[in-house]
Amino acid sequence: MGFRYSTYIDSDGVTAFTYGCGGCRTHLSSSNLILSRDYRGRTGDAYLMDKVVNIVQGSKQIRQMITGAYLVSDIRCHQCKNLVGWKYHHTDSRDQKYKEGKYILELQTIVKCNSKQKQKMMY
Amino acid sequence: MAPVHDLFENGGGNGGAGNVNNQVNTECIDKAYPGIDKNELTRLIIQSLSDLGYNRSSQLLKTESGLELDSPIINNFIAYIKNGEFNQAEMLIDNLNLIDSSLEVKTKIQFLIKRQRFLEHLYNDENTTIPLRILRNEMNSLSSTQDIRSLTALLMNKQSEHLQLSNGWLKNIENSREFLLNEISKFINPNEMIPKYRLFELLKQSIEYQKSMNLYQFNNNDRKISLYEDLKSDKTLFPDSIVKTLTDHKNEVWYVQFSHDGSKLVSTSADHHVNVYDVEQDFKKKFTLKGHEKQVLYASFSHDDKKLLTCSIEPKARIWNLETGELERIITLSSESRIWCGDWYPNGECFVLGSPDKEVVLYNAHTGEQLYKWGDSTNGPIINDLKISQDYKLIAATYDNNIEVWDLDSKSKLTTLDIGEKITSLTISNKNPNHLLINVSPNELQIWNWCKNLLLTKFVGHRQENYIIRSCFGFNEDVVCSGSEDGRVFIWNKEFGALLGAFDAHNGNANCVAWNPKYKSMFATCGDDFLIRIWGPSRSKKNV
Repeated sequence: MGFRYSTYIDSDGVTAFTYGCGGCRTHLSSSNLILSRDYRGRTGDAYLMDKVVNIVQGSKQIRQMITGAYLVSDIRCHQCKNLVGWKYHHTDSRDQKYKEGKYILELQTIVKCNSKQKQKMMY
Repeated sequence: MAPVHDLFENGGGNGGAGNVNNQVNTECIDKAYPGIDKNELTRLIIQSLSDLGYNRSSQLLKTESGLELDSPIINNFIAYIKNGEFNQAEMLIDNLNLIDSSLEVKTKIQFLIKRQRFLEHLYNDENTTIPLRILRNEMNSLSSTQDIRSLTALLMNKQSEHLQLSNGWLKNIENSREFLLNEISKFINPNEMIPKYRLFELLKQSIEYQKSMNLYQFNNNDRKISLYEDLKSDKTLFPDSIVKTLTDHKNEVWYVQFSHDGSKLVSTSADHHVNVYDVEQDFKKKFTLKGHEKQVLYASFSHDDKKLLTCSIEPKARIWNLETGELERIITLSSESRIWCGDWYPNGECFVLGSPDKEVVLYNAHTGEQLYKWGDSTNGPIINDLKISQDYKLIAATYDNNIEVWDLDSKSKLTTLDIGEKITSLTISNKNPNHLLINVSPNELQIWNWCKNLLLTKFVGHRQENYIIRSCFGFNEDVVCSGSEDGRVFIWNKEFGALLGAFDAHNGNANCVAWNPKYKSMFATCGDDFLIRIWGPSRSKKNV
């Protein structure tokens, strides 16, 4: 569906990084928006994110996970349709409610877009 | 109030031939054209015959109709002015039938006549004694300070053409007196003194009106306008039909562009390929340029049409040789910045790439060497689209909803236009490099003069909320054309901003449009349905 107009996420590359789609570097989220680094996705390590942009959502489905059943939908980069994670819509278990409306980004599918100043500092 | 023209009928029908009223049955004319006074029309014909130099016919018509062009007083007045008997003319002012007979108007006329005397003395006398005396003694009390100041300036600088013109001096006595009469006639009741060239003025207005009613009348001077018939919509050359469809791409087509000489069409697609078509050979495919690893979203021909720059979603731009179809060079920016657009110097020596990752970089086109960089990935502008004008200005549409203009010689920024909405596409006019056509989300096209920071025209009707939709000038820049998210292609009259048509073009987005710079009646569109459509005048119209 055409070439999308994408939201740009600004970050200085020192105190915060922008995460982009691994396929086309379309900006998805920022390191400021990480809620937890302690998640696992289908491809390995994943982050729980407060907000993710420039995505299209798949259809809602119930998925059984380690912590219970959730109503989720897959999220894909709106530009290249790369599968980058999912969004939690609903759960019945009260202690998992905080995930509702939040997103999972799988690290294997995303890249840091502007971390070169950090790299320089490491050398 | 009695009609004034009655005053000038020379004895009605007793002149033998009689006037218009009893010669033929004019009832049907009265019915069909109720607002038109036949005596007024006849007097206009008398005037135009005389304007055209047919003085005998003009005289004959006066006799036949019993009508006079101007009233006897006016005739005397005109004669006095033409003979330079200005004092006599001034004395007649009180007898003139003025539209507004206030003292102010009479003083103004008096001033104009005295100014003529002043001017004639100024340009014919050896010294300035008399003009100075007229100015001081006679005109001072009649005129505003501004008029006097202007005349004094002329006195000091006799040769200034600008001052001559603004003070009513037209190089010689005859022309200036004519001009004076024309100026004065504006104050006189038009029934007594018909304004100069009145019939021609009416016909000119009629033509202008017809033009404004006819949106396909594109001020093209190659067509002679005839008074015998109304202007007709000339759509024979107007491309409103699909004449060819190219089906080579295996995925969405995102960009199309014609070469500068109009002989090639390039298309870029989400199938990772770039196709080059030969326009002269009925769009035979010349090359498929393969190499991009992802969707290709942009292409730009060098000005000699021998090279092509393409941009893809993978962060690499490619330069292709269009004579051989071979890849010439791959360009990458620092830290894998994406490259979304680019354009060439008119002389072909350099090209500029624009990135949404805050980079604008100038390259040597022969060596691929980086020559200059506007900003880096922490402080440069976020570029959505950029173009280079023929007078070497770099113009970019940025994510901040601005248009930025840089001078390519000094590399300094010339101006920033605040558009205030998302800008997805940018085109520079070939006729005036200061004019820009931009697509503004969610549903507008705008033409700006960037020099004057002036919005000239808006075009509405198409839709572009989420996607990059592109537009172009067309039909000798008489129209603007754009794709739309509803799959239609929209064409507007550039001058009036009026929509000429919205044509079904594609399923899904109509992503991009391109007009052929050489063949005025040809443009191309591309869409999400994998298709490229070529548009031209419909065949049936051609046969008519």
